[in-house]
Amino acid sequence: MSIIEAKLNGIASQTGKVKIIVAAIILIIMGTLPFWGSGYMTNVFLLIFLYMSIGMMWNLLSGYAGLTSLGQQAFIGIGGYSVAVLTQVYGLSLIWGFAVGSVVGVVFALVISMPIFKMNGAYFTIGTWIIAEALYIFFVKWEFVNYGIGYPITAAYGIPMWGLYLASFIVGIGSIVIVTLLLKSRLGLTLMAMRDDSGAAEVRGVKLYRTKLICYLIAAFWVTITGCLLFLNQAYIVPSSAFTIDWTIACVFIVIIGGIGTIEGPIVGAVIYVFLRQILYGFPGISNIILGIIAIIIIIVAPKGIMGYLNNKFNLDIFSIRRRIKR
Amino acid sequence: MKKRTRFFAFFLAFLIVILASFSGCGNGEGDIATGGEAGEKSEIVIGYVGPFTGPLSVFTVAFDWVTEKALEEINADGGIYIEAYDKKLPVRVIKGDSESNATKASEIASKFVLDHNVDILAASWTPETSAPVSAVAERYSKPCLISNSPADSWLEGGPFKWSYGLMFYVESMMASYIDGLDKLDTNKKVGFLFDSEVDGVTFSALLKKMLPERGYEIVDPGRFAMATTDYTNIITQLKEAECDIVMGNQILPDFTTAWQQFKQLSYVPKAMVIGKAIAYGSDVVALGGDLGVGLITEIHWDRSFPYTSSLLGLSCEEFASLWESENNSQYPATSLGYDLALFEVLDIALNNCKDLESATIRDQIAAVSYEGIYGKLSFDENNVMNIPIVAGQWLEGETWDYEPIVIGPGNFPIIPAQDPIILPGTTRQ
Repeated sequence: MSIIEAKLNGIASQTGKVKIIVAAIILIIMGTLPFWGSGYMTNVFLLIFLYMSIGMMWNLLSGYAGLTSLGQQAFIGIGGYSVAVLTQVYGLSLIWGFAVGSVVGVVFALVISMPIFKMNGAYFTIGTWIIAEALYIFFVKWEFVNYGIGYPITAAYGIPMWGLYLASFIVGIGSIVIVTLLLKSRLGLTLMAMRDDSGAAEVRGVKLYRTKLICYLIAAFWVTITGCLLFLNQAYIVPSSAFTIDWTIACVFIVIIGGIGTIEGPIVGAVIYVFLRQILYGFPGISNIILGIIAIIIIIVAPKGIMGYLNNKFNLDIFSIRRRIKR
Repeated sequence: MKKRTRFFAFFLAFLIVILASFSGCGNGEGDIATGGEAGEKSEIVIGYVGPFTGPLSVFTVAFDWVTEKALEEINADGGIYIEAYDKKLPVRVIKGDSESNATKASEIASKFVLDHNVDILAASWTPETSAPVSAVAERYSKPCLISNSPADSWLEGGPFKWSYGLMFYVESMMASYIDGLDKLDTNKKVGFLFDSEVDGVTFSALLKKMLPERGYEIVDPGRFAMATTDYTNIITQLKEAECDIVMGNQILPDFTTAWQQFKQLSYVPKAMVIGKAIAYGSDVVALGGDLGVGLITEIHWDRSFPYTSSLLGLSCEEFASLWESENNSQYPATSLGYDLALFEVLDIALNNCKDLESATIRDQIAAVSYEGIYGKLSFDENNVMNIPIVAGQWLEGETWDYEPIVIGPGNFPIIPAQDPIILPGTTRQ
């Protein structure tokens, strides 16, 4: 082993240690937040983790797999309704809501994947949106889910703040871990090859349909779980709030502002998005306009998002998914 | 490597700064339960969540004006005397915009409780606001007063320990409609035009029980999604069934589309009863032409009500006139009454509080029994103050383009009513 190689390995090892220490400190601080922070701080970070989770999954689809979906609200709604129906109508425990919701979400994703994966680009995007809208109309006319009346989720009243926060924390951090591991795996390589040039990737042996499907099902599963928590936090669900495209708009904002195609992007984007919403509540009527102007300014200044800009400028790569050739 | 390490250090510092800055927000959960330290309290804060933008924003048009009038009165002598602090505390209202969206309503209510540490949560208008705000109140054990939302759907989230409502029961609303319809010469065939939103489903289900009991036959084409743009199929079914009466509940843009299509298809029923869409004179004008003449709707408050405000000391007529003279526009009947009633109840409850513990405020809200802008009221076993609701008809007015008359008092016979005058179907075909 040459001296240079030894030095490089030493540097890499040192960087790895710094990363682990910083990550551990952050996780400890955030994981224990409800026990030392104020209720408001806990609630804000709870929202950050949930929005981070749906943003991370949208980034996985759009930023890495080239599947730009405008229909992620379908899975959020399925998650919320699973919890509501099973706890409110059948009196089952919350865990059943999560279990059934995740299964229904994945099965639904599997079913709709058959027609929409035959579409590409803008057609796929519009197809996912239409399916989510159709699901909304179906729910408002479906007696089993109480039409458009929806449900209060009274089981949520008794959940302590720290319990809901920790569940959201796990889901938020879990989304980072899932995406990072996925992208570091062989599947991650195929995803990026597919995103960059699906034709070339297919010629080189990448199984497009299978790769897309795995990615789509993982995102569906995690977004459904996140939807369960979003509506537990809200304790009330109606189709108009469950299947609103606002959820996907939030994802797009978070990812575009934070940096599409980066793992750090949705984290930064979620923090900014939730903070802005907290600040802008005091501007009734113009809050969305202000949000839009901020988004436009950031897109003009940093077209690749904040983390894309910082990564280019400072060569940062916090959640590195680069492969190193073993020597 | 150095750059990366610096970045990590920066990231950690950034996180700590964020956490530190948030530590300064709110007073922590301990204070939320106690309502703040006795010596530090300088005001009573009410956090109000309402739809100030979005499709329901029309209902909050009077809130700022009524708040100003109410607070002028409440804070006139320095505020409300609270024994625990041995001083008068002024009342302040902070408002948040739900954007007519349940998710936003929930987020804002949480912010009010956890960040602003409000003493009371308040919210108004439709289940999309009332249900999520009540849920937040129940979760954080914060007294909450909701105004104007159908009690029936709100109660599905109960039983409530912390939330109270100034609301109407849907049965009262339907009884008043049927009272008005009884006065008309029709074939008693009622066609439904109810969408699949909360109100549409609830109202149509109740009418299916009540109308046959009163001798009416129902023709129901089924529920449809909000923002539907083509009503041809529904209108054709109602026309073929020869319904003299059509009853529905829609927001204004949807009803405008539907009502114009009724006319285009040459089917104008003798009576068109439509909830929510035409709560205000300006809504009726917005229909265009004379499309609003004779339409029947619910009246949540009217200048003709024989009551006097406990807070302002004004009769309904005087209160409506005050709006019109100061704002140079027709009084927004639905909002004006409910907004004032909200402050009347809060004023009485707070004046009876010896301290500002959440439980004390909650108990004093529950104990309110008073006579005000809606007459004599107190909370029932469901935490609901049963607010009068009557059926009215829009007619061309002398002062304003359209003015309503009360035609069906329903469960509130003390409210004077007139006979309906014009049948839409008799004036155009």
